[in-house]
Amino acid sequence: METSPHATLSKPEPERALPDFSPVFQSGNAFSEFLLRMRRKEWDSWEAFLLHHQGIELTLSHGFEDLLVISHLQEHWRKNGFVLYPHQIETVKKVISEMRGRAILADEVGLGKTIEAAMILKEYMLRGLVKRFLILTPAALCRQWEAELREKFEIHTLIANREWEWANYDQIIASLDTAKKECHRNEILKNYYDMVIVDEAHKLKSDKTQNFQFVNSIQKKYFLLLSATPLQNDLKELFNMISLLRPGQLGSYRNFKKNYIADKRKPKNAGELKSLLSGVMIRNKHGAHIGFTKRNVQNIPIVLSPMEREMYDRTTDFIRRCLKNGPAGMSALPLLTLQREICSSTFAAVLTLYKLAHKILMDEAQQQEAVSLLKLAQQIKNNAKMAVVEELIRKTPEKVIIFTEFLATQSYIRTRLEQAGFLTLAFDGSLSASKKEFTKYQFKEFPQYRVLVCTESGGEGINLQFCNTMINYDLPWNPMRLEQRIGRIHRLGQTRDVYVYNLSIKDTVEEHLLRLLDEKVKMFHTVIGESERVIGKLCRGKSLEARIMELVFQADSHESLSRGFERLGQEIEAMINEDTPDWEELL
Amino acid sequence: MSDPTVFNFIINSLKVAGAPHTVIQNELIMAECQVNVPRTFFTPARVETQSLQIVCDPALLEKYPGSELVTRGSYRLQWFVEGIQKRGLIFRGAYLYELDYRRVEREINLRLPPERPLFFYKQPLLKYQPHLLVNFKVILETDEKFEELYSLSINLIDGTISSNLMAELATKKISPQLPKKHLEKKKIPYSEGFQALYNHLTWLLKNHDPQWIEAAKDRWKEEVSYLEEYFKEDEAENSSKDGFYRRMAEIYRKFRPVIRIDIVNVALLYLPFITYTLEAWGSSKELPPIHYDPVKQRIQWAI
Repeated sequence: METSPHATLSKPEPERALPDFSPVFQSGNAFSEFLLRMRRKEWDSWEAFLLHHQGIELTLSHGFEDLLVISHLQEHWRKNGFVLYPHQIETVKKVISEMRGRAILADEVGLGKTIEAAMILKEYMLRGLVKRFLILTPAALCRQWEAELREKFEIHTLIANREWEWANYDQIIASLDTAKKECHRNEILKNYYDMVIVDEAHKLKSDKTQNFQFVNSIQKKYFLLLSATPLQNDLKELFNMISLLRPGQLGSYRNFKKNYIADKRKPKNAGELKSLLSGVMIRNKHGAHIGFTKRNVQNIPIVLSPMEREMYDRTTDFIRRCLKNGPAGMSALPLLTLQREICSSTFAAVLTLYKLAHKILMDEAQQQEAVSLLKLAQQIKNNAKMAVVEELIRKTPEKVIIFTEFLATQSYIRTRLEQAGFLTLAFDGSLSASKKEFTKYQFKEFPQYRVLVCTESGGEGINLQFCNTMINYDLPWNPMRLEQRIGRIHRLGQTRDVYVYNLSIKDTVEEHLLRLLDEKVKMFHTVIGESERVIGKLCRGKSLEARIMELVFQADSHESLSRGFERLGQEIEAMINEDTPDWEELL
Repeated sequence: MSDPTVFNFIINSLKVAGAPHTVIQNELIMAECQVNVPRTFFTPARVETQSLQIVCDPALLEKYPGSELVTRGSYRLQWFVEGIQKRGLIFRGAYLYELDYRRVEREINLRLPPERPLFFYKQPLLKYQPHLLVNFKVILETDEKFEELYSLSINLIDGTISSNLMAELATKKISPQLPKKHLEKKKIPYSEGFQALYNHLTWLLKNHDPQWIEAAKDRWKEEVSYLEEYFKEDEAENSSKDGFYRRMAEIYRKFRPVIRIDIVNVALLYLPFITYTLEAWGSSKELPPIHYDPVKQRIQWAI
């Protein structure tokens, strides 16, 4: 018998009395049912009798040597062109045979954690070990889970949001936020689940949160936690997640702290800790062994029209002046938003300018300037970026996804494209989950819809790998978000090379940002997944987004902004090259 | 490689279901099956004909494009098994035995020891005794699961329990027609017969190799050792004690061995049983009658 590796750290405990391990006998169908049939003389043929017996014999379960799910669904997957990857099969085997159905699936983004979890679930279902399960996900992903389970695994589930559903349905998906509400929580805690799966499980990183306490209280047999980022800020978070899954795997917190934490971000005895983690956590990383298609990225510099240039320069000046001489009590956030909006489109800036023009806190001169900028923005009917977008769409026979950060820009893009004769669909955060699913279905199935225009929040977590062309109409200042955008189409299951077009306006923050991401972060050049690791490093301490904001605030001219970005680039290079041991080696 | 068991099972299932089918080169099965399509919001329930083109060897997929691969564990095999589970639940029949005196006497003589007393065979008596045959599926479940099939039968006249009747009958021709004469009436009611079989099965399972239980117990102990380590620090605090006991209960529920017994199907079989009264040769000593069981090909002196 394998014993706890922490046994040596503590004084021996008196042996606990063993509970009764003699088997419990249960009878399934009663003989009386058969007796009734005999009385009714519902006799069948001898051949049918033997065949019935043989059928049962053919489907007997003999342990976990082979995965049933693969042979069970192979035809379904073959017909639907679904491809399984070796790392996914290995993960499923390991979770079932070695980890006894309790694991953290921590694959990097796009490697198919959902598929692995669904395979584990289906395997247990086919063996009759799981009948009742609960999947907890962020609200935006409920529909996606439901569709994936139905389409790829023939598991039919209910997205529960009413109190009576918890007791009456066995196969349930729910958002964590819904499930933890008092009325639902009480119902859920009454039930015993054969399996619980929590997606985006990093939301359970703190043991003080309601999320953690709630999931910890659910009675369950098998338990899967899914997270691409099990370690974000602190090693304690990792301890909490593992202890939720299998308390004691890392010992008590006092021992864990003593043995494995150098400081909250730096592990001690990393090798030993890594070996303990491997008992409950599987992390597949991007690499040559995993079949990703090629990512082709093209950065397209855009030259603004004179009117747009004037608008951009004046707005940037206005923002700098307001930040320097702005009245006390005025938040910098609207000004920052305005800076990002003006990089996106003049239309995106209109609403913020309107609000600033009517802000009481602004002095009269500033208000006048805002009004004048608003008028200028209203005079601009077209943006130079759109001409490039139209040209790109005309050139490609493929369906195209356009990402923007702002609703007004989304609306402008759609209007212009419709005028140019392209039917478009929109994805934004206001759409309900079912509407999103329907929009995705329309985009996938109907050839007339050539373009899907997404906002950041609209596209979150949605898989669109049937499409291979993407235009980043504007660039988010957070590189993780840019990676997530690309991850919508460039993920496992994508069978064709992917084309990403980044639009950036010359001599603006956008140009500097794109150069930074391209040349320093090497976001578009490194092996897939490498950029995530670099971004991960960047995210420690002050985020890149915050650094960029700082630069924009501090720069008083375009030249000083350039110098600022150059310095930031050098810092990033140094950070990437530094070789300090940290928790990355644990994962 | 093709699995002949699966291949033959599919063909037999199609035959039993009466589905038109053709087998090509012993490799490809082409069949038309009637399937019940359940009611949906838009359409009523209906019966549809589904065309199947089945191979059981992955290597044949290229030779017969558009075919469906059916192997152990595949969805389609499960589909056939689920279909056949509605059939063959109960059977009543007999092994009709043609009494050929010379052959029977020869068979009995072969089975008698050489130092047997000398006797003449008198007129034999053929009777058909009722046997209750029950196939059980036994599920051994902890956090893992193993399934086994048990086939037990009981003679409803004398209560003898046997565990190999199913295998013995596999090569025999069993008729759904009962013989017109010589049917013996059961002395043990079905329910008592079934209970005896169930008790016997329970006894067998209690003596089953306990390795699966021991392995689960070891896994349970390991989990408990981790749990104790985790909660030891806060043992004084009542709040975490609740957590400890809840987790202990959860783990126990996961690893506790459960044996579930399901009845697969039941057969009432009338099997021949021959009794000879014997007349001793050259001796006044009376001999007891001899019984011959043609199914098991076994003789027994009556006491």
